[in-house]
Amino acid sequence: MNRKQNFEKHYSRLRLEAWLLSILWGLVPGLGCGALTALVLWFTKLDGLLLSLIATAAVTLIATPVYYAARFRPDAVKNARRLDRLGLEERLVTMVEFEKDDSVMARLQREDAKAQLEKIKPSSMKMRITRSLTLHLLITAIVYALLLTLTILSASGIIPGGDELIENAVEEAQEVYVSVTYEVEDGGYIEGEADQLILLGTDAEPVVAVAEEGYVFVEWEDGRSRPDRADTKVTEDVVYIAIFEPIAEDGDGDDGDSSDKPMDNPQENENANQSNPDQESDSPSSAGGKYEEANQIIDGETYYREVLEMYKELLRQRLEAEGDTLTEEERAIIEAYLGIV
Amino acid sequence: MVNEQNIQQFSEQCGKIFEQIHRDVIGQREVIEGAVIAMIAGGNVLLEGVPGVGKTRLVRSLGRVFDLPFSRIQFTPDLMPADVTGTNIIVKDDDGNSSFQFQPGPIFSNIILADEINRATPKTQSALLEAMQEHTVTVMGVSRKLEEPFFVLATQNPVEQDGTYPLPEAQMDRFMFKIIVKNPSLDELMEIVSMTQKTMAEVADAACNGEQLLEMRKTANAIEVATDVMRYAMMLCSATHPDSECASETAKKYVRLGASPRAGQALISAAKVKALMNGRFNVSYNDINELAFPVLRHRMKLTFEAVAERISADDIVGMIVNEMIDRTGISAEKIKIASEAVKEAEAEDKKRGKHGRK
Repeated sequence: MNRKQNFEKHYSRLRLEAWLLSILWGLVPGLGCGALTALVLWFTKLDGLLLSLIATAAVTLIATPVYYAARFRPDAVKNARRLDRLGLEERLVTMVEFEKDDSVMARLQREDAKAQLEKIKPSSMKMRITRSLTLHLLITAIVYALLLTLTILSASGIIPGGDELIENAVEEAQEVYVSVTYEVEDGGYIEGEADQLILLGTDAEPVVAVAEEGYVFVEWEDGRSRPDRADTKVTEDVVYIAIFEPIAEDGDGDDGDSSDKPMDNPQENENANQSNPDQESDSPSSAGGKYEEANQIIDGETYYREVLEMYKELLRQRLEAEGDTLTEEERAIIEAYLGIV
Repeated sequence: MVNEQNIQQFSEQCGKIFEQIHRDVIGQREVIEGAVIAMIAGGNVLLEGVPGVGKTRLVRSLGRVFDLPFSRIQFTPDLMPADVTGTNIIVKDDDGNSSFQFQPGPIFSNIILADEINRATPKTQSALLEAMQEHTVTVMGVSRKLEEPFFVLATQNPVEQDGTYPLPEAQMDRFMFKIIVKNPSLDELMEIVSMTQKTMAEVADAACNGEQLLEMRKTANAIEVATDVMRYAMMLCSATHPDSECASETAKKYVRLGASPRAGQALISAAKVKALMNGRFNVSYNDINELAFPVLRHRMKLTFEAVAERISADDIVGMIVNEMIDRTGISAEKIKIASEAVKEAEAEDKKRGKHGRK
């Protein structure tokens, strides 16, 4: 018995359905390839519409017969299964399987199956578009349309090309850090974060250079005289070193710095430390030097009362011993301190 | 060799059998159909139902309709195996010499009604095992073949469990079908009462004899089963096993022990008869699905979870069938599961899943 004869009425419809399904499935790689082409063209800023459409059509044309041959080509058993779903209660599957059986039962079964098949109209076979096919088609079509639109807009100069967009995005995304390092020489330490890693152009956290006992803060290496510092808008890696120097033991501290920062009297300092041991380094006023009762910072200025007294005493002794007069420089120092006081 | 005449006769005799049985038994169409299918296919049937729903009457009617010798054994706790199979007794001949002579028991008949089979002790119940499977009886080392066709139609009451002995798995497996006999509907009840007011006598006539029955079985066996359908039937049986390669999710949850290979044999044999009864010469998926209930319901041992959730064997068979339909993508109709217990269990599962306590 000729199989084809049994399914004559339904074969053409099943073949048509197989081709349609093959085309639809073939469109999935076709659209995917078109999308890929559009993506490449978007980066090259070429007019990709025609090229992308050609790529889509070419891949679809290749994929369709492959799908048909490998997956959807009507096959006797597949067709029988398909037709049985129309209410034939596995008559056709049985018929196809036992088509070479010459027993009475097999013959009757074939006759019954053919009689039932006659009642089925080919139009009652609905094409089955699976959810998987719909999903694949939808996703690839959307991606394809999106990339094709971008390519066209890019080629027209309305939007930048893909390469530009990516470069900008990469630049924006890059976060450049700079390091801010505060170091000290002998005689002090940094209060606050000594090693900081901050975003380029942002502010560093404030720090204070604190002198240890017997030392005094002189300046930062970059010339800044205040012990506390808060660097703003840092644009490169920087290292700031705080410079300290020991306090002179003999009290003869009239060096170059004495014009604006007179030396502490070590003797007096010791006395002050003994009388206020708890305030040695924890006091907030200790920034830039050792904390002493007499050396308090008042309204941003250092009040060196004791130093002033010491200098006055030294001066008085010298004037009494030598009967000398004050030099212009000495007079200026005295006047400056008096002015502060 | 089956010919067209056999097929014609099969169809005619089926019609006559149902017509005659319905003269005695009102309603119970599915029960009657199941019992007739099992008898044609050569299987034993266990009828389960509360007292008074017509189990015994149905079996008696079957005996009359098939025009076969019929024995009734009322199973009680004191019934002994020898009371079923028969025993050797000492007889004296004319010369006064004594010798053993086998006295056949009631099992030596064509149709055996084992009434309230679960009331007998396991020892007596097991006396039926050999007869049910091999159609032979061995007494004192001598095997005797039972006359064909041979059927055991047993009944049991599911509610009165005191003083009963549940049938062991080995015996349950030898029943091709377990058929649940339900209470009749209102209309059927009215018809039953009207009929029995006139006469209680059974009026069914013989519709076919033993030879014809064997011929019908041979005809049904000639039906070809497509490989797809055969595979589906075997997958269904295998899906009842929680640890098989095609175990269903339902079986994993609710079944401790699945159906034996006998279930597969019974399913195909019965499906062939059912197909031919419906005028078809091939077995369909729907035949398999419909017969899955009487074939599988007594062949599964349920888990504690199923018992606790009050999910019946029928619910489980229905769920497994639906799962297999989904899995294989066949065109069979899905089974409607009406059990409240299943709905509650599904709702509970969803709730657990929702709160991540699964």
